[in-house]
Amino acid sequence: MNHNPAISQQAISATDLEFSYHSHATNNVLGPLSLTIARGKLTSILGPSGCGKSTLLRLFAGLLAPSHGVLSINDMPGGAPPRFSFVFQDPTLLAWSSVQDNVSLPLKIAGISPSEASQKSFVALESVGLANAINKMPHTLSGGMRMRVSLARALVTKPDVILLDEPFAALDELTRHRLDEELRALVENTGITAIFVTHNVSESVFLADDILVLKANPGLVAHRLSISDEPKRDPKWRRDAAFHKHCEDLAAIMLETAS
Amino acid sequence: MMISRIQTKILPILLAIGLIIFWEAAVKIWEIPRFLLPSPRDIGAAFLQHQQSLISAAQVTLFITAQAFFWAFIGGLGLAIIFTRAQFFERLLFPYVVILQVTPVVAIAPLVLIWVGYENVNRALVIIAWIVAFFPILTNSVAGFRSVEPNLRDLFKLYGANHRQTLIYLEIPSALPQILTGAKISGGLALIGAVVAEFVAGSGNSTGLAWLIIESGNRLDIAAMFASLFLLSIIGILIFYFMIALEWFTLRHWHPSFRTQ
Repeated sequence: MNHNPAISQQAISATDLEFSYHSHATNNVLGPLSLTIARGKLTSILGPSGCGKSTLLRLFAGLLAPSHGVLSINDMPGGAPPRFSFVFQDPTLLAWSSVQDNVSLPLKIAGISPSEASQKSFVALESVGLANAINKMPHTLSGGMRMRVSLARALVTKPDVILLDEPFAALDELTRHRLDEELRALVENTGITAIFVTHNVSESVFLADDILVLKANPGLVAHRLSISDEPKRDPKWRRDAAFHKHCEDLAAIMLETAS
Repeated sequence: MMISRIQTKILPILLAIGLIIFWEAAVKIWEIPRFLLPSPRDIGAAFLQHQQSLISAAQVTLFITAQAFFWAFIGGLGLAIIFTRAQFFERLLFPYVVILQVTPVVAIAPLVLIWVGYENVNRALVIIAWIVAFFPILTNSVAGFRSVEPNLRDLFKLYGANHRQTLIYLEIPSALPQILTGAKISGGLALIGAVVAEFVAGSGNSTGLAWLIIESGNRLDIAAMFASLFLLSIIGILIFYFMIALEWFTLRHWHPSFRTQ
């Protein structure tokens, strides 16, 4: 992985990226594929189970190393390498720590003083609407609230890129819609780069500026789609005719790539 | 019939009182000789008579047990941390840990005694009890460290946590239920180990409860044997409840086993 000093509109670009679990494996889990992720936008990676969506996300995060090809994580406009955050499908909270201790964990690891960490984690929790739950234990919270804690933990370090691996898939429809809306607002307001893995077509259309459709065995980018006609998203967008048109088109593309 | 919470607490005590009365009566009615089965009253008298030697013997046994448990805890946990960090050491050492565990400690004890020397009997007793107590802490801790949620490990990696931070903030709290399960077993085993060690070493040098049992047996003072036995049980119960309290203190806020049904 090389850090490109040139300031780029692309947060991440991959060229002929390949991944397999064994160096001499004949079949790749992923690739070879090439793609770019736009800075300050929400890119959704859409595809069926087992198409390597999560693997791709782990490659971006540096949790896995590419087997072949080039993955460049471009520097931020200031010249610094971007900071990453990861949100898993499960909230992955520390069961033995309070909500606030969970959120301040990344700060504690970074060596930030306890008072500053508790102040910053409070702000992060406030931003996800959990200011009054800071002393609660994770097991006393609902699934949606736990996911909010997980989001707050991802945001507390003020990351440049946030990677989300089907974060709301296990939540009920209403909660998922609300969290989608909040995430979208976050991207619009802060200019954070978000990469959102999902297998849900309408969630993808609601959230994303760019959609990458992956196909399985091996994971390849089958289609790339931009939804640029509606930069501001609010709940009304779900009832828009264009929204439904995009959903239908995307569903047709997915059906096509699956066959 | 509904049994209330208080009744369930009182029932075992009532049973104990009933059994003691039956025991006392049975010894009287069937005229069982004292050197076969002393009556509870005889045991009480023996306890009062040997009070001082019993208490000091209990202290010796408790001290040996506590030391063995302490070193088993430190050693087991430490080795488990090394094993999970470097598989190399696990491959290298685990066979020997198993050999130490499966070889009956009674068979190793004389060797330990000879090596440590009869002038340091207490140290030999601690080592023998340690051998017995060490294994459950090790295996349970290893199992606990292994079952840390992989996504949380990834999260710590992503945040750039170092080994020490991962250990303190993630691995130890996550493995704590298993570590304490190991500790609970080891605590009981440390006492058993201390008694076995003293039986083997018991040639007049040791002064713990096990030695008192042997000595009273030789004198056919069965009442004193029972008194020692009774104290041993009390030590065992104390260790057990100490572990329960430790679990309660550390896990009650978050672990599923402490949530109200």
